[in-house]
Amino acid sequence: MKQYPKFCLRQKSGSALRMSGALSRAVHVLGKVLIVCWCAFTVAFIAWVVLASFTPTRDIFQNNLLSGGLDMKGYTTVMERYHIMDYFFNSVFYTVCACAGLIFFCAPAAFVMTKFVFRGRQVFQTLFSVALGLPSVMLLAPLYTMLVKMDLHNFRGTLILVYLCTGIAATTVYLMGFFATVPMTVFESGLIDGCSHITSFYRLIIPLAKPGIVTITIFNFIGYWNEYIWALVFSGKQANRTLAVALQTLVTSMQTTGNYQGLFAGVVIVFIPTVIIYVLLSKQIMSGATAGAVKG
Amino acid sequence: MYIAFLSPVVIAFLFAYLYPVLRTVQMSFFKLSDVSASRDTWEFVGLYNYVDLFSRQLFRVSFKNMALIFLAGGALVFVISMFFAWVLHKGMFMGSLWRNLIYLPTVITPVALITVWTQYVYNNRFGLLRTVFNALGLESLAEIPWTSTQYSFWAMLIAFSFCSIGGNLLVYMAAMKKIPDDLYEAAFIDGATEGKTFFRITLPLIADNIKTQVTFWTIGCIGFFLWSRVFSVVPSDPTTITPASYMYDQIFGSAANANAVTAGTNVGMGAAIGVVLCIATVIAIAVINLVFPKEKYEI
Amino acid sequence: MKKMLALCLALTMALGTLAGCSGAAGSSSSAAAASGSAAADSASQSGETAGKALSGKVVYWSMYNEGEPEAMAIQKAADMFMEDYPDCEVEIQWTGRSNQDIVGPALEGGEQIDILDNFSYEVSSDRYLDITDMMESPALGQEDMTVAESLLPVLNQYNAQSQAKAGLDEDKYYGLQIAPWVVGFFYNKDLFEQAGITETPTTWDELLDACQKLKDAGINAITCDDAYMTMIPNNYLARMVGVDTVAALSASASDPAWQSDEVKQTFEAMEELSQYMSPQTATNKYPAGQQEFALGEAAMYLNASWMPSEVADTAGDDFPWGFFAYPDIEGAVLDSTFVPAGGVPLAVYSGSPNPEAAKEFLRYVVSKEVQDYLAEQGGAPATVGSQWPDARAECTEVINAATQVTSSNCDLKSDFVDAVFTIEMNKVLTQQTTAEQALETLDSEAAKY
Repeated sequence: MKQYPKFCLRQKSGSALRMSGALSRAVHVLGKVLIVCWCAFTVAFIAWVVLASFTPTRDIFQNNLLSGGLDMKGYTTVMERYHIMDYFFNSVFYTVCACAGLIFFCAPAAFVMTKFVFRGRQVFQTLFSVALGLPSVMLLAPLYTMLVKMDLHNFRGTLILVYLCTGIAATTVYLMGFFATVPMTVFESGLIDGCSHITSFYRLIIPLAKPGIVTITIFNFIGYWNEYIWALVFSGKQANRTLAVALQTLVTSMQTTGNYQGLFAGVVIVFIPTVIIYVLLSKQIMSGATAGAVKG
Repeated sequence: MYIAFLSPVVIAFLFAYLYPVLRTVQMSFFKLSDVSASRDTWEFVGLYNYVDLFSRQLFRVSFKNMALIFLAGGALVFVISMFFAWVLHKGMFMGSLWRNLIYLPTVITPVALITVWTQYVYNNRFGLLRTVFNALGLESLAEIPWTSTQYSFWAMLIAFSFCSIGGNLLVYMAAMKKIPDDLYEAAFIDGATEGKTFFRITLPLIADNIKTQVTFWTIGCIGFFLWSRVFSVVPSDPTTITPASYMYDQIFGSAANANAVTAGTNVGMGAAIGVVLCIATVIAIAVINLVFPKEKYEI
Repeated sequence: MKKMLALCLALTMALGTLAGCSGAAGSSSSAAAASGSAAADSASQSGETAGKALSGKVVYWSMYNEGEPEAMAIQKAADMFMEDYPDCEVEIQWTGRSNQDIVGPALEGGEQIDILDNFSYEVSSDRYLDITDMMESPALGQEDMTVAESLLPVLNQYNAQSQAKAGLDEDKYYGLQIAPWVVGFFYNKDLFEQAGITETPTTWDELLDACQKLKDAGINAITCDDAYMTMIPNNYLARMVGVDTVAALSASASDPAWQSDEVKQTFEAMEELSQYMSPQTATNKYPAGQQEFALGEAAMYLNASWMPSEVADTAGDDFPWGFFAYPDIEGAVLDSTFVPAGGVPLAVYSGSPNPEAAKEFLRYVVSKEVQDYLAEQGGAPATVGSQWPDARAECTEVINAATQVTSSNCDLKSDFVDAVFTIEMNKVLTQQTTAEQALETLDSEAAKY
């Protein structure tokens, strides 16, 4: 079968979209309607949280959202008493470091594992896939005891280290699928031109793999931003905590004091960044997923 | 070169996966009540933890719940995401807007999502579902007590599936886009119906992607934890308990509410659950590899 | 297959080596613990000889969050302590309710934490330092009493019971309890008045009467949430059968006591009560039921005394709070002096490098001044004679009347109880099943546990 050049794939001409038969056309229309309902549901869902964060608790439970106009008390409490913005910047720091580090370490490894044949390669591949399936609760206790023995607890870098170590399986496996599509000849031509393996890899292969790297980074970013269990155990001191942990603390605290307005305000502050990133980068996510889908 | 490229990842793997797993396997053969108890207080009990575990009804119930999430939730997510992918692939006005909206829940932190589902969507007075069904005149559906013991498992499953569809949809759509036009063209000329082209061309050509997604779904179900915990306030509520959450209770203890002190723990048995889950993962991946067709279609 | 075999082989080999090295690690950590306790001994001696000249750092990882009344009071205690002992420093980490997940491993790893809270004595019972000497020294601000005497008797009893469960000497203090709570019915005084109820029910029949009057007046008598519903039947059952039988019921699902008339009567009583439960109860997800009560849509809610703070924002300052004990049941073994009540434990870590300062800090936490300040902020004070805040004023009476305390679920706890008894009971209370059917389910499921 013939290989299609990339630019061809973008151009969708008529035939794939052509529909035969009245039945399939009806099903298609039904599908459209369902999708619109589905999306309306999602919008209502998110809008409700946002509106609730501007409504005093008493009105939330009587379902009189915004009956008293925009009430900013939830946000001021969350920011002034719970210092949510400090945690916000912690989260940015951890997430950015972890995402960058993962690409730095995993991309070369994934490349070697897909493109070179060596003893034990199959074992590595299997082990990494199995590692993906381990429940993280299981790794928690031994890992903590070990890090503590190395006197690394309560140190900002620890959480990043843990994210790097536990993230390698997913990132490597994803990138392996991706590197499978990158032609080896490019790398070899670099070697022939006198580049070292490492320069050749960074100069020639990384640019080709950019869509895959961008995608996995976006997924990693969203994942680590929302990550809870590792952050709870490994960030230690209060000042080092992430937004997700702070949110859970905030949720319990708001529940014991019955301040649901503050609770929803906290929820909004936590999800707004991911939503904004998502809106800005949805094209990349899509093209990345497209690129990733070629693997096989 | 191998060393330079591979060693960081291999070291990280040994450190973050292999050691903890082996340690957990080791713990599963001992009796220890506290996760931080020092090694010399452990008491070797052989396979007792496993025997004890399988005799526990609650563990069996949790396994059944997990299987149900895997099968029912899996079917739901697969069918809906595939159908939506097909619809969007075939073309829809403002297609990317709908796609983005369906994907949106995936990027929101689960704690926030669950809070909104339980406090708003399923609310028995002003909940979104109730409002919608009442507006449509479907009184019987509006009356469903979603968060009662009877329905809470399904309520959780629906909420979880709702949030999982986006990721699958994205992958299936991307995969469908990769299928070259001339295959459809040829089928169209041969007079194949839409159903036929879907099952004969589209599905086989994206089988690899389906396999990946099924693998991820399996892994997700085996580690199913956060939803089960946050969805039910009652500790070890048999309606929503899963093995991972049972394991967490055994290792770290369960707190009934914010003001209660935790109950006793049985770390050895928790570790045993972890081992059982790992074995389940390996078996599941092996089965998936067997079920899906080996032959590859080059596109 | 071959690959799998090789993998298994590799794993077994690695396990062997691991067992070797972890053994070594274990012994080294026990050596560290031994040296830690030696340090504690010497420190306590020097503390006695040096009298009040304390110095050093006291570290406390707290279950409270910044901004909560308890956190504000503890911070005040720390400030007072540091002012009196300028050489001491108190470092508090507000880690929130999840602190129990991280404190254990942190201690194991050698992190300095001197004050522990929200623990169960049963977990690592060797972690808690004997603080009897501090408890028997004069209380701060009330020098005519010892610290132990200045605390609510209920709290000391609860502490002794918790210690006994863990096999610790009941006559000593390995910790103390703050933030007392007590379980009873919160009620809405306005709604009671509206229904013509003049006196709070003291017997089960009076409770049913009151429910009927409320129902006749078109008011939902009782509401509840999934998280707290188990309190209603558990209190009934515990009163009916007594503490020893509750222990037997918890111990085994096949205990003959499950077949007793008392269990049957409990189910029937709940079935009778179910007609007065708010129709929302079946679907109430915490905190929906509490909010229903706070909005004045239901008249009673069985909960612990922490409830007013959980609904403070909705109820507002003028809510007509009332509180009465779980009513007496005819033919029951126990009466309303048997009450689920307790507190939050605080202790000094046995490996603390600075135990004298840590003990002294605890004395400041339970001083009259700090506890009165806590009450002003809306928390529950632990000292005798401190006035409880308005919404909880009537809880004081119930907690003072208590002579026998139990846990919030009345110590009825097992896999069978969680998975079958509680669920069936909830169904009965929400009229999803009948007492008869529930008992049948109980019988048929018992064999599986």
